[in-house]
Amino acid sequence: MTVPRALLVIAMMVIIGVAVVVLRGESARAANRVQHLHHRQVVLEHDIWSRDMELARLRGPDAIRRRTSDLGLELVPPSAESKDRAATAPAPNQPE
Amino acid sequence: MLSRRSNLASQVLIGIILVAFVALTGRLIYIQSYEGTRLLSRAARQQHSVVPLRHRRGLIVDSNGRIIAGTLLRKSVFADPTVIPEKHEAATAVERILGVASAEILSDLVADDRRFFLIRRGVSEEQARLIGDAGIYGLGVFDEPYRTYPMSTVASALIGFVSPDGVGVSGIEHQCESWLRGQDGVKTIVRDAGRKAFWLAQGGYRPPRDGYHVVLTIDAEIQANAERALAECLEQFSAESAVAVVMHPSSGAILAMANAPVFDLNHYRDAAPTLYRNRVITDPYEPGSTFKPFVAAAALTDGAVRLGEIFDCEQGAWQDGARVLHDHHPYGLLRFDEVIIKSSNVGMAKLGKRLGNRRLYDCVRSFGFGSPTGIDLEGEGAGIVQPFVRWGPFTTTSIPIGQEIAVTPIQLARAFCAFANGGLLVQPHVIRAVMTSDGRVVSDFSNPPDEGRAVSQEVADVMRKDLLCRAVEQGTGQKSRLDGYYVFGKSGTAQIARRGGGGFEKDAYVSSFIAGAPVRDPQLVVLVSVTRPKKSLGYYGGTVAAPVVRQILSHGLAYLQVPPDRPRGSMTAALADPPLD
Repeated sequence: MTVPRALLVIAMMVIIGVAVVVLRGESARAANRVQHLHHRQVVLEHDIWSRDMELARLRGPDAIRRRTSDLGLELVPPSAESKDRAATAPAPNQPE
Repeated sequence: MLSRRSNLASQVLIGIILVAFVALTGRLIYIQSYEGTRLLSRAARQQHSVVPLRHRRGLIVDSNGRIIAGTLLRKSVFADPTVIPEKHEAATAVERILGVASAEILSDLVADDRRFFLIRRGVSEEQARLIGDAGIYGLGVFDEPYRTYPMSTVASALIGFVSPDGVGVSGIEHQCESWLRGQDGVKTIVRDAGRKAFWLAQGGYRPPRDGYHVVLTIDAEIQANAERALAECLEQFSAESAVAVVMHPSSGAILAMANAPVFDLNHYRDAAPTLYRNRVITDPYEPGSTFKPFVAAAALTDGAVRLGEIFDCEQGAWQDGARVLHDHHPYGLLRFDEVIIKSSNVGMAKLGKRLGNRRLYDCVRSFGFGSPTGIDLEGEGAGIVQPFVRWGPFTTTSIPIGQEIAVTPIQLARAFCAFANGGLLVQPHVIRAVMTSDGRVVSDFSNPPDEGRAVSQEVADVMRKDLLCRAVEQGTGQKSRLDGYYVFGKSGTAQIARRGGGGFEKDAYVSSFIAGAPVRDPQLVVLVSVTRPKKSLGYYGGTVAAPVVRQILSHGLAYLQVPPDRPRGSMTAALADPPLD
């Protein structure tokens, strides 16, 4: 084997080595990004949990009662005219 | 010459590279073979850390999807006493940040040889940050799920609560534990030299599985209103406790199951444990006059009596053997329908004599008394119905007036539904469905099969329209009358039996009222029982419980937009002196 050939082999090995390092770096960056996004997903999920609870508090009967009272609203009983409309409505607790 | 030297040099160079390569390969083989396992585990310890991914315990929601029980995360502070280098320093930092006495912490840190020691649950974000900033090795903060109840007191005894470790202890939380409980996930993170999370390890991720959501038939609005009405009643009559059940008579769905007093589910430890019990399904009581309609229906079914038949009510006192029965008001001759409307004990006792024990027993059993209703809740009682062999001559006149028998509120409400749905015994139920966290239905319990027929359609209609509606319009239930709807119902006032037998407690009553509306197409059945109202303030079912039933019905019918069956403003004034139970 001549010196040029040997240098060529070494150069190729260096190129392959550099390529491996670059690919490994990219892979690490991608994995790091995945980890970051995953962490963000968990944080957002927990944020949704707390917003669900806040919404539940606002939808609670006492909260609604307070708001309707503040606004001076009352529960309006149905009139006789609502009969036809109500007749087609599902019975309580039956799936629509 | 040059070529030969060049050739030699290249061969030497190649030789050196080969030797280096062989040496390197040899070293690699040595490391891989002899040191590999040890180095790998050492690297894993240094680089990998396992992080639990918290699952979300399933929600408990009402029939409209409003969350009654949910899960949040809170920060909790822990210590690993085995690795804390300066325990004094750690204890001082904890005292400064959390306000826990350092001596107390120190004694735990010194004595405890566990790897995990919980210092405090639920610290603030600021406290958690300060603990982190203190930088004490072995002292840390972690996210811990905890159960929260956004409606605080709504349906407290029914919903129940979980232990600090997140396991259901009572009520729906306990009963549905297998559905509600999920499974934590885990991720393995590779960290860099600075312990900063770098990436997820290969195959090091198992997602958490959230618990299933439990959908109830309860409507939080109707439930909250029932609890409010009961609380007002307790205060007005200085009563000990009260319960209410609101049912859809055709499906058996429970729209409200209220116990009063209530307790705050978020602070359940502050409440007396007796409040944890769901008395609607556990506590039997003598139903008193609310039981009369069932005996009347049995008599009509048998043809043992006609509506217009006359009963001599003996001016309010009738001696039957060694026993004297009394009415609250003296009545002379009453038609059978008036016996129910005016709630005459004497008239009913005579009806009992006419039916006899065997038929009375069959009547009791056909309406489901003496057996659990099979409601989908744990701890249901069967009530108390003596075996037939122990029924004596007094039983014949006691059962028709609701004595010598004890029923649970849910049994009574279920049986009364038969008058509202054409005579069928429905299956009461509280759990409507179980769903995954993404909304897929796992189990649907919304249409349980009926439990058979208690009375015929004709008898049920007669009971509802001719007897029970008039009991409200003209009889003991006038305080439950509604503008816009015809109500059918029956009041009851029962003395509380002494524990261990031997008669009744003095001035101790259970005042109840059970009713449904509208008469034409009943959509709601409501039972209210108030225990130990103060006698001087009122104790008749028609006085104490009927107004509560009215309040619950009025709100419930308007809320559900049930069409009226009576012209508004058509209600005549109540009788000046309504009959009593």
